[in-house]
Order: sequence, then structure tokens, then C-alpha cells
Amino acid sequence: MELTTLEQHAMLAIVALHPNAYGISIQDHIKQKAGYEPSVGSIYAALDRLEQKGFVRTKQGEATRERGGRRKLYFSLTAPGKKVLAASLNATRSLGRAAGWQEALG
Amino acid sequence: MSSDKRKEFLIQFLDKYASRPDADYEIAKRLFDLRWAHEDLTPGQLSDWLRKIRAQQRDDGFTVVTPKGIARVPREVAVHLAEFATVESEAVTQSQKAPPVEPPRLAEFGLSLFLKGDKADALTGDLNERFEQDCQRYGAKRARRIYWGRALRSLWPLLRRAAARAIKWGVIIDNVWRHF
Repeated sequence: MELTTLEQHAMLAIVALHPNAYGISIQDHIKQKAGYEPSVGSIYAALDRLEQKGFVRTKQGEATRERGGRRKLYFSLTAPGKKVLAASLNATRSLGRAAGWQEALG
Repeated sequence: MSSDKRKEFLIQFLDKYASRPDADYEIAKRLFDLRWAHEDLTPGQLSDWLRKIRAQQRDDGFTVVTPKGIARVPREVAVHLAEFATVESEAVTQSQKAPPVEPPRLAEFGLSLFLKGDKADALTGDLNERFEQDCQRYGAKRARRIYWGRALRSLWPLLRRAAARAIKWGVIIDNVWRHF
């Protein structure tokens, strides 16, 4: 099962932030660690796809005044999600090794 | 101002002070130490701190009065901190008097069209949370512009997602239709 780069990054952020992974914290984490800032909309679109495939599950959180009374939605990985993420990371790693990217790109 | 907000404000306040161009390295370092020392204060203690903070010269040196007691700091830190606290606490009083600022409802509505139920709620909630932070940082006018920017950037991926769903269902319905 293929994952897009954003899907992979969002899943890694969910693992790193567990159990506090929600839209903004995921966006901040990606910005901090990967150096680009995906829009909140693209994060939700990616997570919606992943949820539909059964790779992430959601849990409603607290509503605060700052959020206009709207609840947070916390994300976590399911067992198939963890498996597909590991497979995707392994594939990237072995492709990188095969290409000898460190030597090729300096 | 909620207790979380007060705590957040205290941290921002000390960070802001420490990053002032005229705050030298030693002063900044001590302020960061103060910041961490005050992270576990109760909301009640924090609520009046900014108004009560003051620097005093004693026989044995300069002190800053905080809810945790008296902290001994170099003269420069005490004086700068007290001056800065006065200005900032006035700004807080002003912002407390001002009516709450609302994010642009049209942008919010536009985004909620492309996601369902709890996800639409969570997405607009996330943008509102950012909006609150931007209001404090840049003021309401600029925060609204930033909100619109964020909403428009979010629109395209959501639109594509909604279209993909519609096409998928269209194909399924079409196939079912052909069989009956």
C-alpha cells in the first residue's frame, strides 16, 4: 500500500505526538521537523484518506473558548496503520540505500 | 482571560522581554530562568502577578517581588522587568476591555462545506485557535487576513478530496445502474 509523502509525514507526527496529535500540533511538528508547512486543509484531507483506509482512528477531545467552542479531534494509528507506515519507511530506506544517495548527492 | 491564557501570556511576556534588542545576554538568560521557575504557578497566583511585580532596592541588592517570593536579581534585570511589566499589564487591561474578536465566518463556512461532521468542526476549531494566537501577536485586522490566507490554502486540498469522493461514488452508482 503506497503512502504519499504528506501521509507518511502526518503518520510519523501522530506517532511522535501521541496522545496529543491533532490538526495544529501535527502541522507544527511537520514544520519543525520537515521544514515545510502543509495547510491544515491538506493535513485533514490526508488524514481523512488514511481514516477511510483504516490506518488512523479519531477521538474527540475538549472544546475550548479559543477554538470557538469546537472540539479537537485527536488522531492515533491503528495496527494496520503502523504496519503500512513501517513498510513505507523501509521501502524508502532501501531505495535510498540502493541509489547510494549519500555519495550521489553529497 | 482564562487561566491557560494567563499562563501563556506570562511565558510570552518573559520571552518577549528576553528578546528585546536592549536586553543583554546575561539579563535574557536570567529571565529565561525566571520563566521556567514560574511555570508551575497556580492560575490564581499568576492573575495578579503582572500588576504586582515591582523592583525594590534593598541594602543587600536589588529584588523582584513575585508570587513565589522575592527573587534576587541584578539591578538591570529588576529595573527592566518592572518597567516592562507596567507597560505590558496596561496592554493586557486594554485587551480585556476590548470586545472579543470573531474570525471571518464566511471563510469558516466555506471550509466546513468540504468535510463532514466532527472533522469540519475540528478543522475550523484549529483555524480559530491559530486566529486567537495571531490576534495577540499581530492584532485583529492582520489576524483576519492571515485567517483568510490559511482558509484559501486549505480549500484546494479539501476540494480535491471532496471531488475524489464524488467521482468514486459516481463510478459505483454508475456500475450498479448498469447492472439493473
